[in-house]
Amino acid sequence: MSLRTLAAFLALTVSAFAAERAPDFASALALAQGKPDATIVVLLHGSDWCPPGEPLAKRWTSGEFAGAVSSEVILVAVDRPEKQTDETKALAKKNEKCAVAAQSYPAIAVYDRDGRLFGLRDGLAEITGMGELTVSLGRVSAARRQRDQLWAEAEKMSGPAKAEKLGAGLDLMSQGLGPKDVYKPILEALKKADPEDATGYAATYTFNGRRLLETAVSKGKDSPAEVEAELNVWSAKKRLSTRQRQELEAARFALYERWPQKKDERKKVLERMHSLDPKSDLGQAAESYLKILAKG
Amino acid sequence: MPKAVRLTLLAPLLLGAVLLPAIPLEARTLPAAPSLNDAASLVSVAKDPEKTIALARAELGRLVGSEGFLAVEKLPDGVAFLNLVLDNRAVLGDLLLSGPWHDAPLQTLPALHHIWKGDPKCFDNRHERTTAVATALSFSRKGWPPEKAFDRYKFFRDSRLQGRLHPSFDTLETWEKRYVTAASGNGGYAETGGWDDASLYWLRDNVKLPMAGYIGACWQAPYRLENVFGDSIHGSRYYAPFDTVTHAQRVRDVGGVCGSLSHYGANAARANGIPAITMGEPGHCAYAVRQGRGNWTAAYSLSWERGPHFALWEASWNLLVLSEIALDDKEAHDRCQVHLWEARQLREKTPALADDAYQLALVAQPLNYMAWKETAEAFRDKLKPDAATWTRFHDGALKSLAAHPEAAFKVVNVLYAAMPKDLSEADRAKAYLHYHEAVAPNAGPLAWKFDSALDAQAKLIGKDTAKLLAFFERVLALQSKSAAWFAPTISWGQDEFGKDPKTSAAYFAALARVFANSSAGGSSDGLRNALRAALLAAATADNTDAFQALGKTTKPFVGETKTKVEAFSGDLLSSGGLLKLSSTCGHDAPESHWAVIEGLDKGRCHTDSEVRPNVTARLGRLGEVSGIVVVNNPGQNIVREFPMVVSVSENGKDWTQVARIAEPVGVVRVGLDAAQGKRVQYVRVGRDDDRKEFFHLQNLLVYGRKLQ
Repeated sequence: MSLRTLAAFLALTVSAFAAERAPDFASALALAQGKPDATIVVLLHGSDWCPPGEPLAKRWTSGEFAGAVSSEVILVAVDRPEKQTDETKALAKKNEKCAVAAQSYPAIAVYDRDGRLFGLRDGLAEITGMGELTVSLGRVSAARRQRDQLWAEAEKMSGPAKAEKLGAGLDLMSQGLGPKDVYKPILEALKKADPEDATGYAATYTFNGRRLLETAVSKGKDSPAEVEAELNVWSAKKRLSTRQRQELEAARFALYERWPQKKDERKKVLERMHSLDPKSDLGQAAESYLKILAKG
Repeated sequence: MPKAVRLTLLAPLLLGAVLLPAIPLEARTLPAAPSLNDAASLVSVAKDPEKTIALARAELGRLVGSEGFLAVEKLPDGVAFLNLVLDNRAVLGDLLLSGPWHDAPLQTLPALHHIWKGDPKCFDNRHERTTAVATALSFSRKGWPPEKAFDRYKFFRDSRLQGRLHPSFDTLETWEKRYVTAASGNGGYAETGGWDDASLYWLRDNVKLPMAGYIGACWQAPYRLENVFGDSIHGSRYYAPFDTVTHAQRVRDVGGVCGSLSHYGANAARANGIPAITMGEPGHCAYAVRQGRGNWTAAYSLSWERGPHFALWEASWNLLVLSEIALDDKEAHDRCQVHLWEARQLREKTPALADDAYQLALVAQPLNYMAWKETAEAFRDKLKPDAATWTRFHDGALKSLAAHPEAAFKVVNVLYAAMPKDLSEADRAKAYLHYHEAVAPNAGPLAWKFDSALDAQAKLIGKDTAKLLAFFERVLALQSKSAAWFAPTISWGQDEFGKDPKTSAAYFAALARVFANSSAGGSSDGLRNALRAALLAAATADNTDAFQALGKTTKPFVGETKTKVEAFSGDLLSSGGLLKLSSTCGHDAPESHWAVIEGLDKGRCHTDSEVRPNVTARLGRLGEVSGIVVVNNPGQNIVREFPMVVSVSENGKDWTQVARIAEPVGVVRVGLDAAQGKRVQYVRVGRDDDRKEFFHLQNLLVYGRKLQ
C-alpha cells in the first residue's frame, strides 16, 4: 500500500501544526476549497460494533491529536454504526462521497481536496504498521502535496517531460488508477503527451498481468510463439514495477507449462521471478514452486 | 391433552447453577432416571428440579453409555471432571439443551475434558462456559479430534477477553455459539494449511466488518479459475506454492472459486464471533451469515436448493430456519426436551407410557420438528399405532407444521412407513392429499425439492397408472392456487406422464379438466394452457429449476431457431435462468417466455398496459456481464418499448441503471464496463416515462463470464 512506502522516503516538511476538523466528509470537502494544500484524512470506525477501533477513535477526536497533526490536514471521523437512527442516517448522507469500502475496520482513508482517494489503510494491523500516526499523517500530507506539485509542473510542460511528471505523481500513490479509475484522466493526459511511451509510464499503468496470464492459458497450446512475442514486448518495457515483472514471469511460466518445447525453461523462469524480490509473496511462491518441481 | 395437564407443563425447567452432591465414583455405571410409572409422573418429574437433573444425568448416560463414561474416567483427572459435569446443572443444561449432538457423540465429553484441562475455570462464568460447551459440541463430529478442542476454545475465549470479537458474541447462547465454533472447511475439521485456527486468527484481525458486511466479504477474494502460475483451481498446485501464509490470506491474495470464496466469507464472520455457515447448492458453494436471532441471510447464493454444511438439526435451509424458531423459545424447547428424555427412557420397556411422554413433548413445543420426527420414528419402530391413532397423529403433525412444508413432509414420510394395516386404501390416499391441502397456502421459508414428496407418494400408490393419474389430478387441483407448489407439481407430472406417449393423452386431459378448459381436448392445447399458468407461477415463485424444466417443454411451440444477433464476449448468462414480467395480459404468450432468454427467434413476452412496465431476467449463472442485447418485436408498436431503461442487480432488490435509450431501435446493444458488469444476477428492461402502455420483447440476452 501507498502510505507505508511513502513514509519510507518522504521527508517530513510540515511547518505548522493543529489540524482542522470537519464534522462530516461533505463539510471537509467544502473546507478544503479554501485551503489550497488541504489533505482530508478520514478515520472510518464502528462505534457500536468494533471495539478494537474505539481507542483510536477516542484519540482521533482528542484535541491533543489534532494539535500534533499538520495544519493542512482536515481530520474527519466517520462512524459507521450498525444501529441506525434518523441522526446517523442524516450523517451517512453527508458522508456518502467518502465511499471507500474498507476490507477491515478501523480504516484510514486519505483524500485530496477534490475528493479523490489518495491512499487507504484498512485494519488495525495496517494502521499500526504506519508508525506514530501524527508523524505518518504529516508524511502522507507531504506526499500528497508533492504529487500535486508534480502535476502542477506538468501543466506547464509538454511531451515526455510532462508524462514523466504525471507518471511520477501516480507512482506516489501506489494504487494504480485508483477506485473506479478516478485517475484515468491523468493517464489519458500522459498518453497524449507521450504517444510513443518513451517514459514507460503508459505501459506501467495499462499493464494487466491477469490478462496476459489468461492469454497464456487460453492460447498457450495452440499459438505459444504468438503469446511469447506478446510477453517479450511487455518484458522490454522499462518502467514496470518489480511486482509487474514477477507477474510477467508467472505468465511466462504458465505458457511454458503448456509448450512442450519450452518446458525445460520453467525452472529458469521461476528463478528469475524469485530473484526479482525474494521476500515478496510472489518471490516466495516462486521459491516454493521450485521445490515442488524438484520433487517431481 | 387436558388443559390442566398442559398448564402444569408450563413450570420452568429451572436448570440453574446449583451444585448437587457428587455421585460416588464406584457407584457410577449409568445414572438412573427418576421413577416414571404413569402419565402423572411424567408431568411431576418435569416440574421437579431435582428429578429433572437426575433425568438429565440419565440422558447424558444414554448418549455416551457406560463405555463413554469409562473412557472419560481414564483421562487425566477424568473422574473429577466427570463429577464436575454431572453435578453442574448449568453445564448439563448447556450440553443437553443446545440442540442434538452430532455423529460422533463419544467425542463430546473428551473434547470438553481437554478444554477443562487447559482452562480449569472454564465453567466459572456464563461466557466461558457456553463457549467451552459449544466448542465441545462442535467436536462431536466425525473427524474432529477432541484433543484440538482447547485450541479452538482458547481462540474464542482470548479473542473475547481482548475485545476482538463482535459485541454480539457476548449475547449468544450455547446453541448459537455452535455456529461460530464450528468454523471449518465443508463441515470437516481443517488441518494445518486449510481453514484452521491460524486462518481464524488472520481473519479476525484482517477482516473486521459490521455484521452485514460479511454478506459481501467473500468478494474480497477474487474469483479466479487459475492462479498466477496458470494452475487450475481443480488441481493440487493452485494454492500449494503459497505455503508461507495462512489459507485465509492466500485465498484473499491468490483467489479461488465459489468454495474458497464462500468459506472465506463465512469463516471471516465466525472468526469475529458471528454465526455463519457454508452451504452446498447445485454446482455451487454459497454461505449464510446470521444477522441476529432468527435472521439467517444467504450470501453468494444462487439457488433455493441449499444444503448447509453445518446444521443443528438437518442439512436443510428450511430446517435451519425452523430450528431457530424452536431454540429461540427456550422455555418451550427445554420442556419439550425433558419429555423427550423421559420418552427415551421408556421407549424400550413401556412404549405406551413413552407415547404419553412424546405427546407431552409435542404439546410443549408443537413446532419442534425433531420431536415430531422422533415420535414418528417411535411409531414406526415401537409403538405400532392403530388406524385412528395414526390418523390423529398424522393430522396433528400436518396441523403443527403446515407452515413449514418441507419439515411437514419429512415427518409424514416417516409416518407413511408406519401406516397400520387396517388403514384403508381410501384413507391412505386421503392422507396423501391431506398433505397437499395443508401446505398449499404456505410457501414455506424457502422452496424445497417438492418433487421428492410426489415421488414418495407415487411410490406408495404403486404402479397403476390410472390411480397415479387420478392422484396427480387431485393434487394438481389442490395446488393450482399455490404460489409455490403449483409449478413444481406440473413439472413433476410432465416428467412422470407427459413424456410417455402411453400416458400423455390422459395427462393432458387431466390438465385440461383442472384448468376447466373444455376446448382443450387435444394434447398440444392442453399442454399450452397448462404451461402458460405454470410458467407464470414458476416465475412468481422465483423457481428457476421449475421454470427451466417447464420451459424446455415449450419447444413444440417455439422451435429451436436461434435469433441472429451479434453476441458480446463470454457465455449466454441468461440461458438457464428465469423471466419475470411486471404484469401479464391476454396478448401475452407465457409459453414463449423461456425462448426470450434462451435466444430463440420465437421468444415473446407482453405485459399489460401499465405505467413503467418491465421485464426481468434472472440469469442462469451469476456473472460478470460484458453486454446485454434486447431484441424488440418488429413493427410500428416498437415505440412502446421506449424510452427504454436497462438496469442490473446482484440481489434483485438494489438496481443500477446502465443504459437509457430514448429513440426506438430494433436491437438494443448495451456494453458494460468492468465496474457496471461486476457480479450481476438480474437484468431488468423497462420503460421509464409516465405513459400507460403495453411493453413487449422478443429476446433479452445477457452475456459475460460465469462466476460460479
